[in-house]
Amino acid sequence: MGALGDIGYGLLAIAIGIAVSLGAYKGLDLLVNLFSEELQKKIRALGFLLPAALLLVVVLLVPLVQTFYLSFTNKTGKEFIGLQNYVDLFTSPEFLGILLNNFLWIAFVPAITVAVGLLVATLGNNVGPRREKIFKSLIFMPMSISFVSAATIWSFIYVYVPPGRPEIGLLNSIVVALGGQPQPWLIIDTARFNSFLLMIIIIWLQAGFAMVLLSAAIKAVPEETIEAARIDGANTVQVFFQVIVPQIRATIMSVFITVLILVMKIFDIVLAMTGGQFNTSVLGFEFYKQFFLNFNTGAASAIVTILTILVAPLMWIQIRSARKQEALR
Amino acid sequence: MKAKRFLTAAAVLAVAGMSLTGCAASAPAGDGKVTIYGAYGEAQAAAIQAELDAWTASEEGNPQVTFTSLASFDTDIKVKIESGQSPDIGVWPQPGGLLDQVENLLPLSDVIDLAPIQETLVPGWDTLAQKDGSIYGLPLSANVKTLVFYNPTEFEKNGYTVPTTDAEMTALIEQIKADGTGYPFCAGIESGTATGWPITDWIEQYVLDYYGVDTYNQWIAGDVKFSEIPKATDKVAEMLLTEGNVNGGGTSMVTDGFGNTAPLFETGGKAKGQCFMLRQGSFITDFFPDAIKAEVAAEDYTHADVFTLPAPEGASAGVLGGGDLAAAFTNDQDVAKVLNFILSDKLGTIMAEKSSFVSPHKTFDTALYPTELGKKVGQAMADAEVFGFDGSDRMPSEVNAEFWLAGTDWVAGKIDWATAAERIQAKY
Repeated sequence: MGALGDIGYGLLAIAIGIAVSLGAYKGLDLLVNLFSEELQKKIRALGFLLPAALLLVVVLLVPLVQTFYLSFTNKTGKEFIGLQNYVDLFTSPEFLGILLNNFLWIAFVPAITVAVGLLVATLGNNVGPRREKIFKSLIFMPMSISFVSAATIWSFIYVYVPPGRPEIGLLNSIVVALGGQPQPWLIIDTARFNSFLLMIIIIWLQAGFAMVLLSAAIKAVPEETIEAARIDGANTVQVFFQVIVPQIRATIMSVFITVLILVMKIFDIVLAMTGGQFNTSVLGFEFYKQFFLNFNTGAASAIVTILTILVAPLMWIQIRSARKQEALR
Repeated sequence: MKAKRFLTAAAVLAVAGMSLTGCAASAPAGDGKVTIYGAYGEAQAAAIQAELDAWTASEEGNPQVTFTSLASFDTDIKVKIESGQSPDIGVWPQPGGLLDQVENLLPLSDVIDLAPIQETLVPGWDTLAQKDGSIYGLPLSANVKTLVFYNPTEFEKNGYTVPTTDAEMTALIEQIKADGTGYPFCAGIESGTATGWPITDWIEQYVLDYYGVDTYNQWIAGDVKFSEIPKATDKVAEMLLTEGNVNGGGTSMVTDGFGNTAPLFETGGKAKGQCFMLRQGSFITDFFPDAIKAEVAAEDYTHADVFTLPAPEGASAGVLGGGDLAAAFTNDQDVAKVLNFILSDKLGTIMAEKSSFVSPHKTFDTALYPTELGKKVGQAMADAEVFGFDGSDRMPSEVNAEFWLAGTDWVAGKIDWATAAERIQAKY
């Protein structure tokens, strides 16, 4: 349809896009030239950053503010109802349970992920180059799959079948082989046991990431410091904790914060494994439930605003520590 | 002079304008293509596409129709509408979602003549998607849920007979347990994020039976509370949650998928988790093992057959069911032609043959159901005296979601019904 055809329109769009971009920068340049020589030097860079900054504002800031506003509205997002959503959330025992779950996730997963990554990195460094490659590849492999694929794999590990039916769960098979009874793992919520089972999945996924970064950091520790410590009579453990770890602290922090932020937003694992039931729900999943299943814009916006407020300090710490590292170089 | 010519011109224009508005009252012609979005599973989606293609070819001027199944229909259709990609016709698996979108839909009477359709529909269907006196949705396919599937070979082997009354049903349950030949019921309720919906079917059936269709409708609307239907919930607890009635009890029910029909065809007895009855909607035949499906398709009912769930003593024999309702987004002649076809009792020639389709029309030719099983199910719908649409599909989505969640927790034994009722009622 049309004289030009699809390819023609595509080329035309590219041509217009280039023309507009060139024109925009030329225009900004002319604008900057209107100022005095001194000012020009200072603001030229700012001027050229303007389009990118505008895009960021539109795509990031505007939705942020809009969601914040929507958290004070009702189910359809059209009526202002003040703090009612927040009051409802904080007075419902379910929501307090969800906050507890999030707290457990952030208390355990980043620390254990870093520990596992550190362990594999250290041990891998000491078994010779060939075995190092094999072990590290194995640990890193889970990073190549999505969270939902991981959930599918692990659901076959945790699955429970009614008595007498053919056993298809790996964990239950092991338990039965050891003489125990098969358990419905994912519905056991005493002491949030099922949440811990889900945490294992994330640790399995993220340990590779931690290991790669920490391994590079450990290898960057100067040999002289280690040798010096050995000469002074330190054994391996002391060398590790008192010489190596302090020198890779920045990387440990960085990995820790990254995994922490990821864990705050966890959602797909909960969705795919338990559908948020049996006390496994977290903030990310609750938002999904409120917005996509209940169509409740107000409540969903309130939940996600709370999540943003909780994540913001972590991002600030991350940026600060990244800046410090920059300064050190 | 000028004024006169002006007035004449104005008069001519006015007349022309009025005649044009006369023309504009009839719908635009349409572009020969109609899109439908629905929620059918693979088999039914393929079947309806085949039937629509046959219809297009059958008559000159019939538009081409494309039926697309959306993966998570309730979420996806909302996204499509909000992004401006709404189809010409939307087919909802429940009236609740359809009624939520009324501001984007057209009253069906604006697009087609409803009278001939309402004449052939089973009573009760046309009031489901009504708002402010206008009908926004009418059914094109249905499923019957007041059915119990069983394995005739196993029944015969153990000397059991199909119960025709509730008393016989209770006796059969006791006998199965006493003989130790297996478990009376298969009753998995797991279904991903929708886990719990099968138990809501059980409860709704007995609310319809024990309390009648008027109280049933009031209960759905929230006027009768969840705590005020004890006869129904006690009956369900008696049939499913009594020790020994279901393999593994409540814990197994919440982890066992609703489509896990294999135990019904198991022959290893109690040790292998064999069950004797499966109360479920007619669509469950699509979940039978392939060998059994082939048998049923070949009208071999030695391993799978169905009987209607008996109503309790003194209660009415209600038929619970669900269905898919079509609503219109666009008004043009092509859409009108398509709607007139799919909402009539003519739809189903191919669908009945290739999928577990049941027509919501009394006048549907039951000879078109390819199998005896299909005929039994279709007849149950056509003969329905008291028809109730699956209650949880008509409740507001939050209540529905909480019904599933609290129902699951109740079955798993984590809370009692009073707590569950409170949680669900609080969402109204």
